[in-house]
Amino acid sequence: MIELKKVSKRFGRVEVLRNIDFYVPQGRVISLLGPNGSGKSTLIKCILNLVRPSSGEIFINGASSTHFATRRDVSYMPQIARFAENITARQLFKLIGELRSLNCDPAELISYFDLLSHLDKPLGELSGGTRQKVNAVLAFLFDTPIIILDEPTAGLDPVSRVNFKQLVLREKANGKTILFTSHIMSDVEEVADEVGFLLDGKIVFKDEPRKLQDMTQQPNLEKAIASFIQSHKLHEIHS
Amino acid sequence: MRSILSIFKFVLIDNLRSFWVITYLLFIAISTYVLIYFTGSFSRAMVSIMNIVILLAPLVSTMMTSMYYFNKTDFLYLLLSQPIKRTHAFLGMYLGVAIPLSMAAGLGLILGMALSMKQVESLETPMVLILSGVLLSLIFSALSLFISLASRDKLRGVGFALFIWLFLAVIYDGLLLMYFIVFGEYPIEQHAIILTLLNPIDLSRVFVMLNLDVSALLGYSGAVFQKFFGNATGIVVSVLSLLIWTAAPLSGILFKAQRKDY
Repeated sequence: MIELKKVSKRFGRVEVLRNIDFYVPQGRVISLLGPNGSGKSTLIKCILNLVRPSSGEIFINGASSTHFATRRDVSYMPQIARFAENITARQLFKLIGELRSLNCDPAELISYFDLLSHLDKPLGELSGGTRQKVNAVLAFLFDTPIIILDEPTAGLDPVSRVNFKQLVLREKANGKTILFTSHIMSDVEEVADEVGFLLDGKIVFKDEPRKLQDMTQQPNLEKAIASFIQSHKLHEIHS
Repeated sequence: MRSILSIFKFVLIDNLRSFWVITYLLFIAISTYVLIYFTGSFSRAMVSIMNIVILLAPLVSTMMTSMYYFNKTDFLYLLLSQPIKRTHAFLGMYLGVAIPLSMAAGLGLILGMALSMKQVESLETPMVLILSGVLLSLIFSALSLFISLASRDKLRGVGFALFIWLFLAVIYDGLLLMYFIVFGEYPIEQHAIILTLLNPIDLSRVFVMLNLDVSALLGYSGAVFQKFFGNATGIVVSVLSLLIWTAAPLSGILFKAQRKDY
C-alpha cells in the first residue's frame, strides 16, 4: 500500500507537485499518466525518498517513506538505465541481493527474458533493450509487495514487451501493488486497474481507464487522454 | 557497514577495469621510469616526478571522481532506491573511486621506480612521494565528490571542481608569492608554515622537497621549514592537516547526501 498525504514539492520557484493526496491499495495496478513535465518522475522519486517532499507525508505499508527500511518492501525499475559500464549483469544482481541481504536466484527470470548469453558481458556492451531486460529482472527478482516501474516497456522488443506484461499480470495475481508510468496506452489498457492522471503537479483524475473513456466519450484511452488534456486546458483558460 | 563494502567492491571492480585508470597508472609508471633513465640520477629525477605527481594526481582524481558521479546517476538512483542509508551509498562510491585512483598513483610510481631499481639511492624520498600521491588522490576525490554532490548539474560540478584544483595547484601559490613579496620585510616564516598547512598540494611539495638535497636552495625559509616539518610536532601537525583535508570534504559528502534531492 502506498499513501501520499498532501504532498507538495517545490524546486525553487517551480511547484512540481501540488498538494497531492494519492492512495494505491494493496494488490492494485495503477498507471501514472500525464504529459512530459507533469511531475510523474518527481512523484515516483518522492515515494522512493530520492526527492524529499516540501510538505506532506508518504507512507509505504503504513510506515513513513523517510525511513530507509521501508524500501525493503519496494522494488524499483528505472527508465533505460546506464549503470556501471564494466560490470556484468550477474555482478549487478549479486550487488542488489547483498544490499537487500537476500539470496536471490535470478535463473528463472534470466531464462524468461532470454538473458543467459548476456549474463557475463559488461553492461556497457549491451544494447538499450537488453539493459532494460536486466532492469526488469532486478525489479521482479525480490519478492517485494510493492513494485514501481518507470517507463518499463520503453526500448523492449515486441516479444519482450508481451513477456513483460504477462509478468506484471502474474505479479498482480499474486497480490502485488504495482505503480507504473507509461506513454504506451495499449500497455496501460492491458494491465492497469486504475489510472492516475497528473497535470501540472496535480492528480486531476484517478479511476478505471474505462471511466476516462466514458467521461470523454472517446473510443480508446489514447484519444480519451488527448481529449481530457485539451478540455482541461480550455477549462483553465476560461477560469 | 556490509552495504558500504558491497558497493565499494562493485565500484572498485568497475574502475579497475576502466581504460582510464589503467592508462593513468601506465602514464605515471612510464614517466617515472623515463625521467629516472634520462636524468641518470634518482634524486635529480625526484623533483620532476614530484611536479608530475602533485599536479597530476589531484587533477586526475578531481576529473575522474566528478565524471564518475555525473555519468553514473542512474546507478546512484538504483542504489538509493535500495533499503540502505544514503551515507552508505556515498561512502561506498567514494571508496570505490578514490582507492583505485590512489592505487594507480602509488603503484605507477612503484612500478616506474622498480624498473630503474639499480639507480635508487635512498628509499625515504620515494616513500614520501608515493604517500603524497596516494593522499592527494584521496583528498581530491573527496573534494570533487563533495563539489559534484553540491552542484545542480554536470557543467557546474565539473567546472567548479576543476577551479578548486586550479586554485590549490596554481593560484594559491601566486597569491602566496604576492604575500611574500609585499610583506618580505617582515618575519613571515611562521605564516608561510601556516599557509602551507592550508594547502594539501603545497604541504606535499614541501614534504618531498625537504627530503631532497635541493631544500638547501630554499635558504632561511628552508631552514625554518626543515625545523618545523622535521620534528615530531611538525610531522603530527602535517599529517593531521592532511587527515582534516580528507575528513572535511567526506563529512560534507555525508551531510549533503542526507539532504539532497536526486
